[in-house]
Amino acid sequence: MRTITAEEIAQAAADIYGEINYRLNPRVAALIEKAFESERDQAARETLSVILKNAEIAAEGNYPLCQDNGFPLVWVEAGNEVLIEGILQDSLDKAFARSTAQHFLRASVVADPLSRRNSGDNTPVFLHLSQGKGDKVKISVMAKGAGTENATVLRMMRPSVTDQELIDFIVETVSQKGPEACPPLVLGIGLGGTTDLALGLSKKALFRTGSSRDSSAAGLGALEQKILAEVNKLGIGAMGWGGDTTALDVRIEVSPTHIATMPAALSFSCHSLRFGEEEL
Amino acid sequence: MMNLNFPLGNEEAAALTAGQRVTVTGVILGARDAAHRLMAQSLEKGEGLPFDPAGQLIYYVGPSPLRPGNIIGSAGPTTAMRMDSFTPQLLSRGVKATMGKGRRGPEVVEACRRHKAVYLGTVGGAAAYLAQFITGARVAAFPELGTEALWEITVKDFPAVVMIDAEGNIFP
Repeated sequence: MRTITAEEIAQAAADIYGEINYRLNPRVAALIEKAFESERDQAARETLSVILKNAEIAAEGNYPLCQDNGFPLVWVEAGNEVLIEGILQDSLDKAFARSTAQHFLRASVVADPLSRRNSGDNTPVFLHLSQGKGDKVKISVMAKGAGTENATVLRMMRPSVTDQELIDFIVETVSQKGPEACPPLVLGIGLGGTTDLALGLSKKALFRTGSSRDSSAAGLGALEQKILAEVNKLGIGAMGWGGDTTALDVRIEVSPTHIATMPAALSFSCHSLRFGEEEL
Repeated sequence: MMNLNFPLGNEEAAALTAGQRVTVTGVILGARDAAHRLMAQSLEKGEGLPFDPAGQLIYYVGPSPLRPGNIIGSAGPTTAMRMDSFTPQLLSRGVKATMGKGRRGPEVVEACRRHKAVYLGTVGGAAAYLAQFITGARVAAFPELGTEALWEITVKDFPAVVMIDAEGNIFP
């Protein structure tokens, strides 16, 4: 049995949150650079180059990538041989409040959705805690902005849905919601599960952006590529002003589900997807 | 590239065409959801606006906190569509331009046409880059709203593109 304190996990997560708000993930930067190289529309090339310039300026450490430092989203998977000492939510809230202040990040969370009273310190942290196997603690952090969050869609499709119907749903939704989510986009898709699990998977899928890691299910790579190609045919382009690259990447995660349901969730990320992972 | 000096005259606004790339210079207002709601409530009560709207530009922004030595935090646009319901009455009072990101609904397109005003789009998520075009910033009203206060922002050569022109033409 291995013991780790809630503070240690929380500090590691909060440090990632601070870092990802200033330093664009190299995998994401590589996708934007590739889009810039292949872009035929002059105005879109200009916009993509502004996005890359933005990342350069932010990396100097004085201005975060975006004024919306996003929901503080944290996934912690603690192995079954790990004992966490302390209350993880409390430690995360303290560590993220500190990190938000230290990194001059905006307090972007309201304590109450009806009164809209700002919580003042960018907390609470939105934590998903799960149990894995072994003695490690896996931490995944994402700074997800409201522009992308507001574009999220869940559709309850028929169990007999075809691949083409799924593709059509994604393409239609990107057409309706994509331009306001700061394209070029990254699309995270969750299929199956319960409704809330599908939505969670659609966010989690974004962590594989630009990586060679396959989905939890074999054979989805081809569907991911097909959706990417179809979405890019829309020609929405950078910031929705027209262009070859509307989406940088598409990632799908699947889960067992009920015989009579096929939840399909689509989460968007903007061009400067901010995420980081660490294993303790 | 055409540079727009704010406050902007009617002829200059009317001469812009959808898709045209411009730069923005002068003193503009920054406001988003909460400030718009307060201003709408004031107008409903018959009170005025906390700024002179004539020829003005409202930039939909809620900047990140100010680092000592800087002028403003990161200051990119927020999604304009959320302010759609508040916009027609602001345009009717003389606001000549709004600036944000993303598309807007038909009521705003119609209001731009009716009041000879424009909507400008700028690069969302390029908040660090755009802060470099800001030469001054102060809270003008509603300080209790923090980042969502009404800001008075001085800009020089701030890049944008005309997304709705004064005839109601839309780009793209």
